[in-house]
Amino acid sequence: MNPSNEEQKISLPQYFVLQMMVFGAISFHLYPWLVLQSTAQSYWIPILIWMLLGLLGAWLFSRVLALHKGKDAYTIAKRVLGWPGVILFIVPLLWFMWSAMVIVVRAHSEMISMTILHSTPQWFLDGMIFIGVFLAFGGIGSIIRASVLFLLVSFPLSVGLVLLGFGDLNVNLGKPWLYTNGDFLTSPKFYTTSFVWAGYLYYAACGKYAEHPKKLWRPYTVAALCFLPLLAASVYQPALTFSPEMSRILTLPYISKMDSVSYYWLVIENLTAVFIVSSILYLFLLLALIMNCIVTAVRAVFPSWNEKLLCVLAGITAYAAIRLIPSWEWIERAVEWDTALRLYLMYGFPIAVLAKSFISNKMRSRQ
Amino acid sequence: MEPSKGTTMLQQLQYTSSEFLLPRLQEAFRHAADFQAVCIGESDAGKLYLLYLTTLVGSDHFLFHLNRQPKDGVLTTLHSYYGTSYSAGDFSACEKAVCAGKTVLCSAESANGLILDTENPQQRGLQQPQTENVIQGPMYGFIENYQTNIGLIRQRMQTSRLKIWETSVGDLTNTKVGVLYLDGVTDPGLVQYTCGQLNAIQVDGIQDSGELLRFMDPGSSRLFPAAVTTERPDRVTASLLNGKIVVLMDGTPFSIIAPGSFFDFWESPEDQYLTPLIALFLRWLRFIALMINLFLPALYVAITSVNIDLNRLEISLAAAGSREGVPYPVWIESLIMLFLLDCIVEAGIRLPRSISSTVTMVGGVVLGQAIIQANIVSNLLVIIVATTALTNFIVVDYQMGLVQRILKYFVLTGASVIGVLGIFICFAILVICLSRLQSFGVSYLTPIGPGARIRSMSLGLIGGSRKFSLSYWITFGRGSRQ
Repeated sequence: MNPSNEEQKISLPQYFVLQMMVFGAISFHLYPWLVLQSTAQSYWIPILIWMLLGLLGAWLFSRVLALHKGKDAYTIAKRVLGWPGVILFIVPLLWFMWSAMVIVVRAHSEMISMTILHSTPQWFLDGMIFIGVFLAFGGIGSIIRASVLFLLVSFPLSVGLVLLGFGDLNVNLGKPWLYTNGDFLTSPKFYTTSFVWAGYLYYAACGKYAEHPKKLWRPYTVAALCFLPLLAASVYQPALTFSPEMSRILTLPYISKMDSVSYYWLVIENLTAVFIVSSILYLFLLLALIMNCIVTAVRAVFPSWNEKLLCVLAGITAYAAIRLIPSWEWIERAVEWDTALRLYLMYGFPIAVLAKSFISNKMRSRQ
Repeated sequence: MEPSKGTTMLQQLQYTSSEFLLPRLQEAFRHAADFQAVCIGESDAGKLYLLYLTTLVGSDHFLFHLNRQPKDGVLTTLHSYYGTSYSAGDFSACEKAVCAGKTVLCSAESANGLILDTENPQQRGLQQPQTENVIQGPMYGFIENYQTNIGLIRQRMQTSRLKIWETSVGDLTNTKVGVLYLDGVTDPGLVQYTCGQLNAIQVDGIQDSGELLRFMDPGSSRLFPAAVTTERPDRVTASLLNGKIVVLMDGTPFSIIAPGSFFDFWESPEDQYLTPLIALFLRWLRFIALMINLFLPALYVAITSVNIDLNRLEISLAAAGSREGVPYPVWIESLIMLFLLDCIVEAGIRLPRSISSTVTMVGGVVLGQAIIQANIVSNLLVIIVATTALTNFIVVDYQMGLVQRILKYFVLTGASVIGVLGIFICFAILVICLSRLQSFGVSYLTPIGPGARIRSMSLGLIGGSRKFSLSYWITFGRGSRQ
């Protein structure tokens, strides 16, 4: 019983916090490398194009959630499209979420291994996924409460690190600043960068707690605008420090940039460690959110299945899959392979549901 | 006994049942040496008796007359009774009443008795609170007497909207417990929940409010206190005004303020009486002290053993230099010192005040100096541990101070295994644990996130003006709902 008589409701600013955490967890490892790889000219154009496309996707997705207020995206898909909806949406989304969890954990454990804990066994670091499981056990309320505190710690650290990174930039290395010949459109890496802007898909489960699901694109937009400078900095700072050509061959350009930052007045010498520990908080939150999405998706089809058991099951299977990933290159390839599925979920599914709903409404009104 | 009043009173005695009260009570209190059944005279219905426990009843409630009897004898009769009220009760009520220090008046053949309010509870006078000292503010605290404590709150809150719901807890101890709330301010759901929880307690006896709290909120954490306990009437009234409920228990000066939030434990009652900026400074001081207390020993272990390159080279060299000659790994060295520190603190609390200062001197100064000279620990660690001890005493709430003492070992373990990352992982686990906790059905991290208490206004760190309050920004407009 809740003595405050308050139903579980999530406000738009709380959705904003969730989205900020999602951006924090997926922005800094692969994204700079992919953008640097996608074009040899101005980077802000591909960044901005995907941001606008992301906003469009978020708007479409919030329209889908608004079709049946108080229902999650899976239930809506099942209601509007029937069992084909389950196969066309829930199954691909489950795979997308689960694979995202596997990739993001392995990416972080690889980063930790490469930077601050060289001798710690990988299996131990991969076990971080179970902290996400632990958080997911508490439900969406617990996830949001934790996210606010995590954001209060990690976001100032992220901003501080970006600001410190401005110290030794050479703006001449960034040319051309404005010109582009559209070469990125032919690069698969450009389409792969969409993974950063797919964060609104994680509203699939928690969107039902919104007072106005139609407005859910707003917190996404504000979070995207807040994170845009950080994303741009994660791409431009390595390029303006090491040159674009050099940055392109670095595995983790932004982390290499962090390594190069040094100020005589700064007590901390290893800023990479600070970056890693701040991103780990983003990671835990994202894992819990994904776990919540997976559990809700499965329960949309099998309502009687136990939530906690499903969480543990998702965690164990993901951990087993993480252990099978052989190298960092494999992670890069996996994110690329996921692109088609991701684009389908970002745009194909919402458009299909909205179209079906629109047609059904038209037919009903004619009858 | 005054004739007219006595007649009215005695008419309430019933003679319908074949089970007489007097022999039943005498049987119930059969081997109780302080139980008395005194014959005080005769009425139409037969002999009248007063039944009471001599250890609990005050002698100033009755006035007896010694009447001369015809044959040089003396007859003792009750002349008058001084008390606030009386009521009729059956065997069960009379038994409870006698145990509570009241007196039962009955005739030899009546089935019930009249309960006279004659209790004379033993209590100390009002004193300064022992655990919550303030420089500015009211200087008196609660005592062990329930009625006195209610009176202290009533004195500070002179309104008919202050409601008290009473019950007794403990099958054998029958301890009186009261739930206080402000009508129209406190959430009725919270009151209902609390009263329901109190009614559901099935236990032989409860000794203190801390024990009662565990029974009232069984789903709460085994580590973090579920609610604030206080012995200050001003803090209680401020909490009532803030929409919380207060649970008072007979026999303890500590009242429970529920629901509890993690941030409530960093607020001192004094904060309300100081200027906003000073209160703000003090709250931040306490919060930073919490951080230092939890993370400083762990950070020392992390940067001297795992993440040696995190710091500037000069600092790392200085730390390594101070450890020269120390044979143990850093985490063992830290563990030894923290354990010794906790022993000294515990000894200082348990011993009489005259000896505790000696223990502190021996433990802190002599042992600290000797342990460095013996090369068991580094002098840098002694500074770290002394700072940790100091910051632990800044905590306002004693229970939360104890929690911190335990948690620093947890964080130290994380740092020993994977350094700074371990510290952050431990921090994340602590936050996750807190985010999952509820106190009386309300989020323990109130005012953050869903499930928070609606009337909650402050995050604890930022007080004073609401517009400058951090909670104003992070509760995301929720605070405007009343």
